[in-house]
This record gives sequence, C-alpha cells and structure tokens, in this order.
Amino acid sequence: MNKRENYGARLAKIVISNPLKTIFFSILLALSLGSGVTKITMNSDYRYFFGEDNPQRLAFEKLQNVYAKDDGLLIVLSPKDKNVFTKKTMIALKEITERSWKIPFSTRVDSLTNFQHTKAIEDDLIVADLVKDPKSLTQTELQEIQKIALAEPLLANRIINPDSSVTALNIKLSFPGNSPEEVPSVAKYARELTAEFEEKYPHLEFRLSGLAMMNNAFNEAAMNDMSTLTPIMYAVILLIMAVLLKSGMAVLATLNVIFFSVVAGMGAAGLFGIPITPPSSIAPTVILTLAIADSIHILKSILYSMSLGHSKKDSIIEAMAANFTPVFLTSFTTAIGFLSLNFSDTPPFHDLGNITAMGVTMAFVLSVTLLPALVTLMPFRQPKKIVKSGSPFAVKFADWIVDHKKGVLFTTLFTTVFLAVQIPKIQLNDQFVNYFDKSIEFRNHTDYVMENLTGIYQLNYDLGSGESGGISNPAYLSKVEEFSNWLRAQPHVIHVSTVTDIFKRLNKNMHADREEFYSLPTSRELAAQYLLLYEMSLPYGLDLNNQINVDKDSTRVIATFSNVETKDLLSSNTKIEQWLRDNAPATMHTLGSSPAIMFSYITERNVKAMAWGTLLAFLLITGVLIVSLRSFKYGLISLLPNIIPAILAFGIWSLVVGTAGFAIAIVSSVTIGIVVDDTVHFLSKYVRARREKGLSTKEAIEYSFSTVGSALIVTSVVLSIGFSILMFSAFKMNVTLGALSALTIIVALIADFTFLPALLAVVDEKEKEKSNIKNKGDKMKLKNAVASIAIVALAFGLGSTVKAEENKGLWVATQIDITNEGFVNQTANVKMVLLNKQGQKSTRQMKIKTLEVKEDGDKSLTIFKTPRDVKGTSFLSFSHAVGSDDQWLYLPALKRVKRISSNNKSGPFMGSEFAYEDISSQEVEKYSYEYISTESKVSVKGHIIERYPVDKNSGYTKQIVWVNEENWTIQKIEFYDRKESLLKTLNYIGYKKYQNGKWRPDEMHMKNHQTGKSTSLVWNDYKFNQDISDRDFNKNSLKRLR
Amino acid sequence: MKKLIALSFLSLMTSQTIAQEFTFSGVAKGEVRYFPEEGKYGNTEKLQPSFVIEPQAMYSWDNDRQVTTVIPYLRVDEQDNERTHFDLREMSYVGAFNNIETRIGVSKVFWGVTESYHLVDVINQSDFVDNIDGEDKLGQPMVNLSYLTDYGTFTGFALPYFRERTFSGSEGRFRGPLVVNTDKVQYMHVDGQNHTDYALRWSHYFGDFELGLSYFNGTNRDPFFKAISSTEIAPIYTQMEQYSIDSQYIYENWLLKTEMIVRDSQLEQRFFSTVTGFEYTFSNIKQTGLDVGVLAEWLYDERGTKTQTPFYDHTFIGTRIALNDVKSTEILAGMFVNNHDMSLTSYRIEAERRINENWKWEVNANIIHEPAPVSGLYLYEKDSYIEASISFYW
Repeated sequence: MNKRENYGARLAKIVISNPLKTIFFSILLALSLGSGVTKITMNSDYRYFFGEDNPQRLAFEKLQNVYAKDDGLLIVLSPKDKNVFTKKTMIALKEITERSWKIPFSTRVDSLTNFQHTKAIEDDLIVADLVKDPKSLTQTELQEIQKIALAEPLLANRIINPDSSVTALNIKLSFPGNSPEEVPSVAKYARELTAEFEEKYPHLEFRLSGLAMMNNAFNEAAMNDMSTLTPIMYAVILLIMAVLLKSGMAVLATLNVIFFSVVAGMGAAGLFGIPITPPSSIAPTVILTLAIADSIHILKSILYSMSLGHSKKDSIIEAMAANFTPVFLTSFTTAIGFLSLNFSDTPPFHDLGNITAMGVTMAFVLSVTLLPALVTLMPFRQPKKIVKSGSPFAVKFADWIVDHKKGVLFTTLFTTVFLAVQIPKIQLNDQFVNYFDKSIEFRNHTDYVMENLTGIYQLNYDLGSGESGGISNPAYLSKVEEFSNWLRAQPHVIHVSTVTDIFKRLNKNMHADREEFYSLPTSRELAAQYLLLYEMSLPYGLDLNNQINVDKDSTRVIATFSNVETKDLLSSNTKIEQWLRDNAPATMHTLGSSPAIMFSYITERNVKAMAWGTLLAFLLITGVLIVSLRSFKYGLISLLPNIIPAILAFGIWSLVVGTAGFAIAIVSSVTIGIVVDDTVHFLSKYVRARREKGLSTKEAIEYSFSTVGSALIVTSVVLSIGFSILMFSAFKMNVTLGALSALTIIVALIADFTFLPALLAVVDEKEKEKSNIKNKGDKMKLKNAVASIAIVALAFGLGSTVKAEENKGLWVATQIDITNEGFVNQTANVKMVLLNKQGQKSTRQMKIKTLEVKEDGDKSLTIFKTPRDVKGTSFLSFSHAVGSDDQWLYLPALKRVKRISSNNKSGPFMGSEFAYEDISSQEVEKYSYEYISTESKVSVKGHIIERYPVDKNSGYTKQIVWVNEENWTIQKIEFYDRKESLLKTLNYIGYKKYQNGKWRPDEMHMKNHQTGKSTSLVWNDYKFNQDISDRDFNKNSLKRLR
Repeated sequence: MKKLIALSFLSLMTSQTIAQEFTFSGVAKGEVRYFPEEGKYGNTEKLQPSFVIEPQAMYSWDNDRQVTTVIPYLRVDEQDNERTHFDLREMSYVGAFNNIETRIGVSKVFWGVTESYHLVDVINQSDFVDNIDGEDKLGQPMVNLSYLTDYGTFTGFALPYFRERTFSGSEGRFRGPLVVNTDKVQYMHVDGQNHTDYALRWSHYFGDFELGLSYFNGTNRDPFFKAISSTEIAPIYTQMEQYSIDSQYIYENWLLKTEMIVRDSQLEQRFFSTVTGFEYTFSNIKQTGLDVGVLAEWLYDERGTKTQTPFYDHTFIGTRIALNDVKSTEILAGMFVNNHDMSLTSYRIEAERRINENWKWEVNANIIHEPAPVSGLYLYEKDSYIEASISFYW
C-alpha cells in the first residue's frame, strides 16, 4: 500500500477512535456554513442573465435612460362575448385603468379608455380620453369608438386586436431596484386586482403578461424547481440506495452526508450573497447527485469488506484507504468543471458553478469524516457474503473488446466523426417566453397574448436627427415615416410604434379632420407647433417622453414581432440596420436593441466565453490525470474518452431534438468533471495492474473490468438519473442541461467500456511489438499516432462549427493581403497630428520605411524628426505572422539600441491615439475572422468583416473592418476594447493608386470615442520599390538614422 | 583621418545622390544645480549654474547608407573651470556596403543592457564632470568594421587615441580632499595617450534572447591615482584586457538582463564583476497608456571596497513611470542599497516633460545618504544636489 493511500487509512483511524467528536465537528462545520441559508435571496431581474458589461445590455440600458423604461405589465381582458366594445366591458375597462395607477411603482397606464384622442373643433385642438363616461355610451358612440381605435396605428395590434375580441392595459413600471421583493409585490398586486375584477365582472377573463411578469416568472420557476425537484430527488435516492446497499443504516448514513452537503452548499451561497435564479436553483439537485456517488463508493467498499468477514473497523480503514484518493480526485475534477462556469457571460451560471463546487467540496469532506464516523456508531449487521457474480461476464466482455479492438476503435471514431458533423446543425433558439414550460402561468398567458393580441418580442431603434428640436424637421419626419412604412411591410412585424403617426393625426385634426390631410406636416414650424399644442393638452403620465427624448432631437421606433425564432429576429434586425445605413442619413444609423436582442445573442456569447472555460477545465483535468496516474502517456490517452462523449451527446441531440438554448454552452463544462471520473477509475486500475501486478494488456483490461466495472455502471446510472430529474424543471434551460448532461454521462460510460480498452489494447500492444520488431513498431506507432491525431483533429474541426461566413471573413482578409502583395518596399513621410478634446494640436513628423517580407510579417523602420527632442529616435520592428514581433528602439543621445518587449502593443504610440498594434503590419494570421455583411452604397461595393486579435496582449476584443471590394482597401475600422465597447474608429481617407498599382490612403484618422481625442496620420511622398533591402533593416542601420 | 573625412565629402559629390538629406539641429540647455550642503573641501558654493550647447550637422545619402555627422559640445560652468569644457562628441563617416559597415572618425559606441550601471560599455571614456552617473561620454576616435551575417554581427575596433577622464577642479563638487591634476597624468604603457586599443564584438539575437560577447585590449578607462603633493593627486592609466557578456531575455512583460566582465589590469588582480537583474513593466495600465516599470539589479564587484566604482555589492531598485502622453512625461527613480548593511547609499530621481515642439524641462535629484567611510561615495557625502534644466531643441 503506498503512501497516498495511507492518508485515507490514517484519517479512518482517527475517525474510528473519535466518532462522536467527528460527527459533532463535521455537522458543526456544515451547519455553520448552512446558517447562511436564511440569507439566501432571489434575483428576479432578467438583466441578471447578462454581465454588467454585456454590450447588448449596455445598449438597451442606454436607450432606456433616454426614453422611459420598458419594464411593463400587460393586463389582458377577453370578454366572453368576444366583443370589447360593449358598455359593460367599457365600464370595467375604465375602472381597472384607474385602479391600475395604484399598482406599486406604476408610472404610466395606457388603455383604450384613457387613450388621448384628438379631434378638431373649428380651430381648436381637443385632446381628451377616448372613453370619458362609459355609463352613458350609446350603441352608435361605441361603434364610433371602435372605428377610431381600430384605425389608430398606436392602438391596433397593440392594445386592441382587429377582431375587437381582446384588449389590454399597458402599465409602465419603474422599479427602484432596492429590494428583491419589488417584482413579486407587483405580481401579487396585479393578481389580486384581476381576481377582484374577475369576480366583479364575471363576463371578463384576465391574463397577465409583460416583462414584469416575466421577471416574476423567473422567481416562480426557481421556487418551483427547488420545491419540486428536490423532493423527487430524495425519493429517487432512497430507492436507488435501498436497491444498491440493501442496508437501512447505510441509507441513513448516506442521507446525512448528502443532506448536510446541500445545506452547506446552499448556506455558503447565502453567506456569499449569491442570489438564486432558475439556473442556480438546480444546484441542490446537482449537489445531491454528486454527493451520493461519493458515499456509495465508500459504503460499497465497507460492505464488501465486511461481507468477507472483516471487522467493521478494519473494513472502514480498508475502504477509506482504497477510496480516499479516487474520491478526492473525482470531487476535485468535478469542482474544476463547475468552477469553469465562471467563464460564462451569464452570471447565474457563475452562481450555479460556484454553489455546486462548494457543495461538492463539502460532500467530499463529509464522505470521509461524517460517513465513516456514522458507520462506526451505527449497528451494522454483517452482510451476506457478496459474490462478485459480474466477473465472468466482465471478463468475457473485456476479451471481446480486446479481440475486436480495431473494429471497436474505428466504429467509435466513425460514429464520433459522423455525429460531430451533426453538431453545427443544432438550431439555437432563445425565445425567452419559451424558457418557461406550460406549467408556468406567464408562459400560458403570454402565448395567449401572442396568439390573440400582439407580440412580445420587440426591437427598438433610436433615430437621431442630429440637431436640437430636429424631430420637427419635415425631411427627418418623412425619413422616419418611410422607415416605419418599410418596417410594417417586413415579415413577422405586427406593430410599429412611431411618432409620425401622431404627427399625421394632428395634421389631419388641424385641417378639420379631413382624411386627405392624414399626412406629415409640410413645414418645420407647423410640426413644432402641433407637438407643443398636443403635449400641453396631455394629462400627467401620458406624455410623449416614451417616444421622443427631452431634447426633441431623436425619436424611438419600436417594431413588435410575432412569435419569431431568434435567428429570424436577428436576421430581421440585421436587415433593418442595413436599411438604415443604405437609406437614411448618418445620424439615423443605429443598432436595434431590446431584451429580445439581448437574449438572442446570449447563446453565441456564452458559447464563445465558455469555449475558453471548457478548454481550461479540460487542460487542468488532463494535468490532474497525468499527475495522479503518474504517466504522461495514459494522461494523454485519457483525453480521447473525455472529449468524445461530449461530441457524441451533442451529435445525438442534434439528430433527435435539433434545437437548443444557451444551456448548451455550459454542458461540456458541467459534464467534463463527471465524465472524467469513469476514465480515472478505469485507467488507475489498469495502470496499477500493468505496473504493480505486471499483467499483460489483455489481463489488465480484464482486471479493470472486473474490479471497477460494476461500480462505474452504478455511479453512472445514479448520476444520469440525478441529471434526468432536472428534466422535470419548469425552466427549459434546466431541462436541456439535465437531458444533455445525463446523455453525456451515459455515452461516457459506453465510451469508457468500449473505446478506452480498445485504445489501450491497440496502443500498448503496438508498444510490445515495437520491442520485438523495433522498426516496424516505430512505424506502426507513428502511423497510429498520426491516425489518431488526424481523427481527433477532424472531429474537432467539424465540431467547432466552422461556418461558411467565417471562411468568407478570412477570404476578405486574404484578398486585402494578396492585393497588397508585391509592393516590395515603400518609404513615406508621415505627419502625425494629435488633437485633444479641447482642440489643442500637437504634431510629430516621421519617416517610415517598410520592407515586404514574403511568408512572414513585414519589417519597418520609423524615424522621428519632430518634436525636436526626440529627433533621431527610431523604432525597428520585425513583425511576425505567428508569435510576437521583434522590436528595437534607438536612443540617439546614448547611442543605445534597446530591445523592447512587444507585449506592450496596446499602449499608445508616441502619445497618440494609435496603439503600437495599430501601426504595425496587419498580417492575416494575427486575427480570426467572421463575415458580417455585404455593403453596397451607390458608388462602392464592399464587405464588412469582424476580426478578433489572436494575441492575448491585444487591447481589443474585436475590430469591425469595412472593405472596398473594387480595390480591396480598408475604408474604416472600428476598434472594440476589452469591455467590448466601441473605443476608436479609424477612417482611411483619400485613397490613391500609385504607379505600381497599389492603393494608399492620404490620411488615416483615428478618433477615440471614449476620450474625445483624435490623431491623424497624413502620408506624403509615398515611394515604392526603392533601392532598399534587408540590410537596411537591422540594429546597425538604426544608428545611422537621424 | 581628416583625409578620410575629406574623401567622404568628395565621394558624396560624385556618387549618384538619391535620397540625400542634410539636417542641422541641436540643443541648447540651461541648467542649475543646487547643493543643500556646503562641500567638505572648500568648494562651498551651493549654486552651480551651467550652460550647454550641442549642435549637430548631419548629411546622409544613398538611402541613409552613408552618413557624416559632426557634433561639437560646449559646456560653460559658472563654478568649476574644469567643468567648462569643449568636446567633439562626433565627427564621423559611416558607410554601409552590402554586409559590411564601417565607421571612421570620432564617435560613440554603446554596449550593454542594464540600466543602473553600464559595466561592459568600455569604448568611450566617461565625461565625469558632466555627470557622475557615467551616462555622458567623450567622443572616441576610432575605425571600426562590422560584418553582418546570419550568425550575428562581428565588429572589430581600432582605437588609435585615448581620451582621459574629466575631473572636477578645485572649485567643483565631486572630489576628494585632493584635487585631481590631469596635467600630471601617467601612463603605464610607453605609447601613452597614443596607444592603439583594440576591441572585438559579436552580437546576435535568437527570438527573444539578445546576446553580445566582447573583448577589449588597451588602456583601462578607469584610472588609478597617486598622490603627487599634499593637495593633488594624478591619474594613472594602466593597460588591461577585458572579456564581457551582455544578454537580455524577454519573457512577456519581463526583461531579464545580465552584464558580466572579467578584467585583467595592471596594478590589480584579475576580477569578476556583474550587473544582473530584471525589469518588469506593467504596460498600458487600465488602458490609460501609463507604463510602470519596476527594476531591480544586483551590482557586484569582486574587488569589494577596492573597486573603482561606488558600488561593489549593492542592489539597485528603481522604477520607470512613463505616461506616454502627448508631452512624453517620464519619471525615473531609483536607489542603491548596500547588501551588507542594508543601508541606502544613494537615491536618484529624474523627471522630464516636453513643453512644446522645441522646449523641454527636466528635474533631477541625486542624493548621497550617509555613505560608509570605506565607500567611494564617502568623498561625495556633502554633494547631494537637485538640478533643474530647460532645453531648447531645434
């Protein structure tokens, strides 16, 4: 028995001799952490799903700061007689409209009755409620109101449906955000209100929707999960353990361990102030699942040892000695997997990861302290002698695998490749309404709203006019109208809210309600006057601030969509943004924003963010395996059975289900730590058999099967059942997560039982051959290695969703590069003009020589001429396509050439807005690319690509590059900083074609949006193909320059 | 030598002069040093104003492959007659022909990588009266030939004339009780000042690793002294051989540097000396452009207190703060710690900032703090100073 196993034995001895103390202190520890349970809070703001610096969230919050907040509550009324325009419904509507002002935090109520209807009486503009006194309404008046409402673009399809069978009240809320109770209190009030009205007006049905109700649904889904999933889990556990352990006392001991693990994990969440959201609400279930696996491993060993006739104490020591390290390792790797969720872009996932990691750690601690202590004290009867009946079958199975190793290997690899190809076909869909299943009221009511009244997915466009009061400008208004009309013609768009409709109505009113004047005012003065008149007549709370900003220089157009899938919403958004760029002045170029947009990007952002997290977890775990197996070879072999299950599971998912939400981003991280357990157990037994027992490959595989085979099946089944229970969640993301994780775990078990032994047989037998016929062995081994690398690379290549668009982005970048190839060398005099925010100017002059280097980055020399104190200072750079650049700085006063680090590439170049990386050679390999769109203006046809710097020292996360297709020149680059917000824009001005056929700009203008500073590089005296060569670009040549 | 220069001017006219360029520039600087304490040896003035002019004429042609440069230097000092001096910093022709580069005339050559002390930099004599930090050098007549290959640059130097170190006069600071009389200089070699020194150097880089190996044979740049009267001492210049290595490795934001020499000189035993350390740069902090570098260098000299330099087992700890702003604001600060008793021996602070296209100010402080009586710095105990200067560049 080696030293590490002795830790377990030593600890066991301590525990056995002090069982009461151990129980006391371990429970004390668990309870002291668990005391935090009382501090657990819920977070019900959908914004919490987005990091503080999520760009879509920032954009939407910016919009909300300009206009009113959109956190609305929708109260939907459906009269049973399918007609809204009846006297009794109008009475009810008027009453509930007035009562709705009393809903907590409400700032505005819009309904049919308080709609600010305008009409003209002679020269006066009369603004009044559409329904003033419902009790005195006659049938003709009701018909008149119906006619007005259905003709009013602001109401139709928003507040009233064309059939007049459903109407709604739209209540704007402004949450102060001080207490988590705000949202539930609104929901409670609204429910009580509607219940009261349902009783008072039995002919009406009420439904509740809107973002406020969605936030509340997050709350309820989380509560629901905690209150339904956990009991199911306990019931299942009891069943499993009763079957497996066949000992009531053992079940009781295990229940203690898992109960206190969960209490400690959740308590720690409370202590750290981690809020509960639907994703983190499944943490107790996950902890339960993982804790039970730990306990079962140890208990089964104890019971087995006792069945052989050993005393209980000896059995405990033996079981602890054998299981301490594996249980520690599996807990450790599981914790790593869950902690990697911190890379996600969605804070609730961080919470899930952190709570689970704490719970798993506690489960490990309790399994090796509380569990043996309880067993010591509890009366255990000696179990019947357990016969390892599985052995003959296990041996047969192992033999079959070894005999058919090549078949197994190729079947697995073929299946892997086949399924990997399917992965990109998974449709990502994050319609947030569908996050909730139909047991949640919000989902049902919202589905009803979308079917009968209006849409819930919206896009906001903030259209600026570029001048104060500019919204009255007829040219601007007609552009907004053109845009709104175009929007209305788009598929899926069911409602467009635009201020131009109000202007048109006012114009009509001011012309004695004549239909032919239902058009925009013809002059600016007229428009401004209408607006003033109208606004003065609006009652408190019904002003136009939700459509027009305070400066009256911009307005917001809201497009409401029917029940569209996120990909359609995104493509509509792209199309709309493009329309604005093509057809509207620059001030109106804007990006769509809304919660729907935020959720539409959530998967993409999470997949990107988690790719790193998963990779890191993977590397760490492989490292742990290499160390614990004390073998580099077997550590590397473990890579394959650890990766393949995720690929297989995703592939199967793609074929069977086909769509997924953003939960998909975290499945790999969640399962990696669990999947690896099978590999650890199998490989450690195998390695031990080979090393210590000196068995042959085949015998070692047989040994591994018969020793850990049944235990692995048991734990995998337990774990997959545990994760399957998440499918009972009311929150769809948890369903997906549970199902995919369970699938991955089962697939992993199969892979570890078939693929892993086959792989071991092939690799280790090849090695044996090598020692016999060395030459052949080497060749085979090489072939083997090449083949497996090729297959893994293939699987990865296919799995990593190489989209055609990405290739097109690369293609554009390559075109730029190819077009510029063959300039040989160039010199130019450059004037750098720096402007600060106050407009103060300073200049620098320099000379730049560039030498084209085939197959690598270019070499360049920059010599400063002014300011005079740095005259002669020069900068030599050898840029490299791959790896960091070589750079030297020459200081003429000391005649010193200093080699400098090129890591500081994000720093400013000579105090300018250009960073070192902006002026260095732009090699294709320095970025990865994605194609965004084709842009065609009147004169220029072009492409927009995004590129992402490969170097981690870059100051940018992405750059959007506008490329002219005719001459493949870069027109503009937008630089996004580490927080993914727009940092700088670089415009290339005045391209000219030189005699060698190359295009060069006269000026490069860099504007920093965050500081207001700008820098221009003005290029003069371009000369190409000069008599300069490699020998003019070295350290010595630096010293000759002044 | 003059012929050579004339020749080069001639060749300048005959060659097809593409991309030729003449520039005349330079700097004029007014500076004032303030010593808070009176000197120990009668040099009691606390204020030392000084004026420096250093114009520069440069003609380059053949795509900057051939260059002639003339840089005279004049300092006028109000206090110290010895500090008022003229020097020809540069009067040279440099020509690069294929893989060979030659440099003929009076010039300056820098070797090395470290910041606190330049150990291997041996070609030029220090202009000690300008500044005791050894950064200012006197022009050195030389002929050198570099051969650039794929295996690095090989350079050979012939140095036909020796430049004596400058020393403060009786009115100046930075001297001991005995004034150095440079007129009574002694040479160990019969050729005296006209001894021709030789040096060889190979330098190359391998990715992020820079390496230089040098050999020097000739007159020792560091003098020994001998008392010649009760008030004066005279410098003695010996012959020496020196082997040196300087290398630097860049690892992410780390620069690891080392300079090592072994010197075998007359009048002393062969010794080893090194300056080894690192510089770590926190670059572009919080995206503001601010760079903060942290340096630590160990200065070791096997001769111990018998060293000719002030430092023999000291640690230099310093920082370099560059704002990277439009005005190129920079602050350098450092201190030397004696490794034996952990006492702080010397502090330096330098700050500089551009005013506009042509003007720039600098402030330096050099504080010598309770040096041990055995230390070379003990003589300068009272010579801490603050210096402010303003420079005009054109």
